[in-house]
Amino acid sequence: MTADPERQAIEDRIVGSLTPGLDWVALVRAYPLASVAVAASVGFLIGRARGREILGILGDLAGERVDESVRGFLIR
Amino acid sequence: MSNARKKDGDEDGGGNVTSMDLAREAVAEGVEKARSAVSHGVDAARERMRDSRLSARVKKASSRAGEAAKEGYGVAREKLGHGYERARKDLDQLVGDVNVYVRDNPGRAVLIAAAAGFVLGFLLRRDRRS
Repeated sequence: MTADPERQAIEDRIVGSLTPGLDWVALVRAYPLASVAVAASVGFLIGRARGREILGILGDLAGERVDESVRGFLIR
Repeated sequence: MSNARKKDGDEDGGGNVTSMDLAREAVAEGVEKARSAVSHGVDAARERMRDSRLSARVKKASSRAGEAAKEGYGVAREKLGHGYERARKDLDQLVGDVNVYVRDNPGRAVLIAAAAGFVLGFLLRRDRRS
């Protein structure tokens, strides 16, 4: 399965912003299964501890985005 | 005189008859005991024969059951071995595919894993259960 390069760049940028100062691509390529397991574990812990807050923030952000889009469309 | 003889004979005969009866009884008792002993012996022998036949049958049946169990065990072991080999091959292939995918798309793989863990953690959080 070949990934869309633009989308892949966005994904890489997201992960890179979450792991500053770390050659995460080399790390993941060297230890693929372990990296996936670590990522899943971190996601699990975050979802368990702060899942509701994070989803609330994401919901607010999405609402603001939709609001901005609708306003921009109406102003035009 | 003849009457007296007869009387004596009767008395003697009566005494002889009594001893004869005793002898007869003793003989009859002995015969009865012997018959009973023979009958017991015959019964015991019959029972032993039956037991030996039964034990021979039981031995045969148990040996057949043992052979069948051995055969079943062998077949089950072979099938289990095949299943294990297949599962191992499938798992190896899956691990290989995952490795290839993660190496090709490291960012996406990490994000997908983190998102899956996040959803699982969100669904299994403590306040939701209570």
